[in-house]
Amino acid sequence: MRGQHLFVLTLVFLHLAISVLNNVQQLYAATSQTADSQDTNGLARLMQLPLLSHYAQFTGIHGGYGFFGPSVGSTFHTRIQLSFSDSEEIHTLSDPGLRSRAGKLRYSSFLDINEVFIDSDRRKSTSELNLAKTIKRSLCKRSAERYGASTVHVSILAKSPPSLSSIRETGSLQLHYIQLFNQHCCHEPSEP
Amino acid sequence: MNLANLNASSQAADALRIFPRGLGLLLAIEMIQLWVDLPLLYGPSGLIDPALLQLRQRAIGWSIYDLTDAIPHLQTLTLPTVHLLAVLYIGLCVALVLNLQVRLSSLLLLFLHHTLFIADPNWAYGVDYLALTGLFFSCCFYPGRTASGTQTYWATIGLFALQAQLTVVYLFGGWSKLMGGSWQNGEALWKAVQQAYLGSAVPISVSWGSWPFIWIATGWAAMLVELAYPLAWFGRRTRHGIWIAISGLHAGIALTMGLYHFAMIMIWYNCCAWYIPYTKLTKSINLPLERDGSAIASTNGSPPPSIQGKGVKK
Repeated sequence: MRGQHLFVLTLVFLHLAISVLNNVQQLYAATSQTADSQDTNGLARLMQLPLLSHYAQFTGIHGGYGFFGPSVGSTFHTRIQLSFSDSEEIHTLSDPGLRSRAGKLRYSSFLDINEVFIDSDRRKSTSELNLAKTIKRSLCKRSAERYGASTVHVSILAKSPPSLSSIRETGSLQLHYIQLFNQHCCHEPSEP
Repeated sequence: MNLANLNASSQAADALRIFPRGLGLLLAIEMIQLWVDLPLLYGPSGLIDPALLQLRQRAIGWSIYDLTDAIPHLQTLTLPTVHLLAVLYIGLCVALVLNLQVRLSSLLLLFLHHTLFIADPNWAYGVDYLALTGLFFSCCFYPGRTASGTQTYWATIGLFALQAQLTVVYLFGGWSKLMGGSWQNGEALWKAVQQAYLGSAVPISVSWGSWPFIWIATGWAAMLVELAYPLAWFGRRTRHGIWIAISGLHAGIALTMGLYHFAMIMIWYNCCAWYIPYTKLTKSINLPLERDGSAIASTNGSPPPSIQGKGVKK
């Protein structure tokens, strides 16, 4: 009985050790300036071992707990403008038609893919950039199909609130949206 | 095992018995809310071409696309399949709420949650990792409906694991914030509350930026609460203080940033780790010894020999 308990306690400590090592590695990757060091450090290689990486992912300890740390990133927004062939009016949507708060929040998280457009310090592969652009094209095309619009403009915007230092220096409380990407597509509605 | 240890183990078992119920309820609410948007997120005619979404999936585990590919006669992801998986998800959550086959339900829900939100990371955010950890703990440390000696000891280890896991969560949360200078000068917290995507119950106007000391002080408070989390292990007062402070932090996140699901999950984890296991324990320690003995006698059939014959004083 005592041996069994010791065995279980050992497993618990192993679980915690994996969790700690994962976080140390994530923190190191987040604060490391050079891309090469992220790939080559021994801890990263250790955490990529199949057994450890599978275990960490299925127990949810793979992600790291640095929520909003070391710094807070940008949030991204979509602006979809729909034009219809039978009307001159332009309809503007702030999201692609999601109805629930939970769905909108998850879509907002999905938009983090747009970080490739602004994050020049960290290495981003061309394939990642191309995928982000292709996803925007798909979003544009699908929005046109779903709403039956003849023309659709999809813009990706980054919200930029004034920093505390700029408020102190300039007194400006202006909130900006920076346009990162613009996609335009046309759609011919099928005959009924 | 002395009386205090027996009582502590029993309270740990109670906490781990109720833990999956709350988690199941919160996950069910999330999936029910998500139901109307499932066609757009996972459906074949959704927001984005599923073939593109598949390119972002992780190599580990089966995503929803792999799952449907593997099932004969399905091959492609259809809307009824998505809804069927969502019904299964909600059903497993209900099983947790009703304490039905908790270990099995937790395990199945863990795999399903992994399929929907981890192997396919497109619609996931931080709360999904923590939910998965909660399901893993439910699966491993649920002590069963009735308490036996082994099960309550098992629960003691489970409670220790839950408390230690939360300590790791907050310690690294605080540490990572401390490493970024923007948390120390208030800029990070200011940016976080200004970027609430969906709005919040207590929106923070841009004009609040004219009082930077509020954001510097609150940013430091958030960091210090997280870094001081290990103090919860040392005594009743610090445990209570940390529990209140961390619950307040999550309530603040919910109200100012609109992250209700995340906040509720974390508040629930903290309740199960630091509040529920100690409430009755504190009360029973304050009772006379004879009353404790009679309480054990009423649940265990025959009282322990050391207590037999010591009746309640008239």
